Amino acid sequence: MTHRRLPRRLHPGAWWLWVIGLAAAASRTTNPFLLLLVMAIAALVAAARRPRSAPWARAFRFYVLLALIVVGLRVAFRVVLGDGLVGNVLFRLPTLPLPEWLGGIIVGGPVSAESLAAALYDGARLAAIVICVGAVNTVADPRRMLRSLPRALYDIGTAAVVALSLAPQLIESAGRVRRARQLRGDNRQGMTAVRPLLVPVLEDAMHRSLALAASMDSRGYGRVGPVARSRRVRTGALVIGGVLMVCVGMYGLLEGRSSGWGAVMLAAGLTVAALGFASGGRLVGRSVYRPEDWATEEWLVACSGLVAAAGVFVAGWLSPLAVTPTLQPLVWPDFSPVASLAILVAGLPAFAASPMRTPVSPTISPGEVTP
Amino acid sequence: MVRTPRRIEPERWGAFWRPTSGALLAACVLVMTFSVGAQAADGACAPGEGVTVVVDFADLGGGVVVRCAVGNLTSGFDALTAAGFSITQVQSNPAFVCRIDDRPTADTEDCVAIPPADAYWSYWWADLGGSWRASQVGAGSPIQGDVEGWAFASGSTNAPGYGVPPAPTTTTTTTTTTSTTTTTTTTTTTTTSSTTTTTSTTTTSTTVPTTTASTTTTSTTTSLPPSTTTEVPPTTSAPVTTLVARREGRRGGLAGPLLATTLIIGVGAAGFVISRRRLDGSEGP
Repeated sequence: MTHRRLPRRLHPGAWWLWVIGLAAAASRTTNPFLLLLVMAIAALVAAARRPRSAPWARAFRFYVLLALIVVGLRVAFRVVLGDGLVGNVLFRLPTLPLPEWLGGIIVGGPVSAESLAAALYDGARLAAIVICVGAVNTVADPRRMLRSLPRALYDIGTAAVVALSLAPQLIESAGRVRRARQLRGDNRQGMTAVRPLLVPVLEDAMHRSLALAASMDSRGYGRVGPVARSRRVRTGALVIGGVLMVCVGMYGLLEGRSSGWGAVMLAAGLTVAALGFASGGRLVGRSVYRPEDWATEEWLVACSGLVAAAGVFVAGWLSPLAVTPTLQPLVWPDFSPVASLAILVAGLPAFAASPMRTPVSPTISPGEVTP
Repeated sequence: MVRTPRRIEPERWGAFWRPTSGALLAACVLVMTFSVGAQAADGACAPGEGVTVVVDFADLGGGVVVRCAVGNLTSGFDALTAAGFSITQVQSNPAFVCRIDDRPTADTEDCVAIPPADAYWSYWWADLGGSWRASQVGAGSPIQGDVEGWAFASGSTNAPGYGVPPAPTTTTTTTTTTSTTTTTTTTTTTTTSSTTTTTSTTTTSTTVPTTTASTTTTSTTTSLPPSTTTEVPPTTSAPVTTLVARREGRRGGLAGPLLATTLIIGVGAAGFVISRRRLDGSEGP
């Protein structure tokens, strides 16, 4: 009797909680080594937990490409516009002062090492968050999230899930169209190959959206049944009002230190939104076939991401210079064992979660023809 | 107060000269620190000498520090560094000053984002004899006025707690120089010897003061009302970072980055190995 656990797909909510924790850890720090560690951990989990049979899971390298583009753009903007961080000048660009009515901005000028370092730190932070989102889109099917959303969020959730699946969908269509063109003898590479791809890919996207909308409509999505209009309006107002209050409360929390109105607004917004959810949940009579389980592995995965976030925040309180290294003077960033260990903990789902389903080997090998 | 960022272009030495310059500067700063007690305290500049820089630490502790910045100053940042203060700029938007003389410290302000509206350094300027005015441009713009002020605003924004030195008083002296020409008339005396008659004539010279040219020169001497003496910092035309002397003397070692790089490479290798094993078709983890 083997003690191997049966493979199962985890609840997507657990993966999203994991990635929220990891992205929060990445956004708290500007230490490039910690950010590179976050990216490495996200790539590790994506490589280990990617379902091989899913076509939507091939997009990770495009997220990495997007992250590199983000970093490159940030560095280019800093070099060209010249932010003037006082430091060691590396090289000089010709200066072009813009007129007063354009703001008096001076384009070009000396580029300092501190300026480049600041651009790289900023860009690396955004790149880490992009790679985290790529990782979660690789390991968790965004459409399965729809089954696990609270009932009141169903309509908004449908739109959000369709939007989330846009990028993997486009990449998959582009791959399919390119294969079809190669079968027809069109072997162009590089930029000349992009133009004949555009129209078929967009057409494909339109067709798929229409097909998805028709199938969802035939399954009853978007129908609310015999519910009084006033009740629906009240639910909508509660949910939207609650979410707006949450946004305002978050702004208040992030903006100042001494005022407490941000926290109050956040708590009030969450309460109002929860009331809206409860009210909306009674409206919609939907049943779910085979609801997703939330078992021990889901707790493990979700908590590992939250531990990473908590660890980086604690490290920021204990040794602020290691988590947000100073640029003047420009020195090697300190090493924070607390933050590094916390981020390594977020890599546990790669090993400790339930095993992945192994693909079934084909019974007919290529070349053999069944009679 | 409008905080409008502008660009700055300071002069800086290369990374090769930094340790040498840092050591020299540390020595100068130490000498300066000890010699201040020997001289009179820091103070405003003498007229025409440079720009007076006033830093009011307010709630941070440290009182009001007034120093004179001399040399070729192109921006507010130059004035601060030339006066001997160490500055740290905000990482994401370096037109903002985050710390002056390492205050507020790293545990209250991490200098990544722009400081909040209830704990930031406000920028003022004034002409001699005028009043403090909140600057409408950032410290990267050219210096306006003769006195620069920085006040730490926590809650309410107040001007630096230091009276602006009054305008210099001018005394005008007019000297008139006249040059005179002297005309002398001489009469000759003839004496004829004869019997008993002598005639003598006296020589008379007359000087007639004539004003032929007169030049009037007006010289103005400006003098400040008695105040504390000025103290000149050791920096010259090129403002130099004083941060090396002001920090706790901790240079980032390479052990930390090496350990971090090892961790990252280890995790990357693990991911690569796992993806290879899964591609080969063997059982996953």
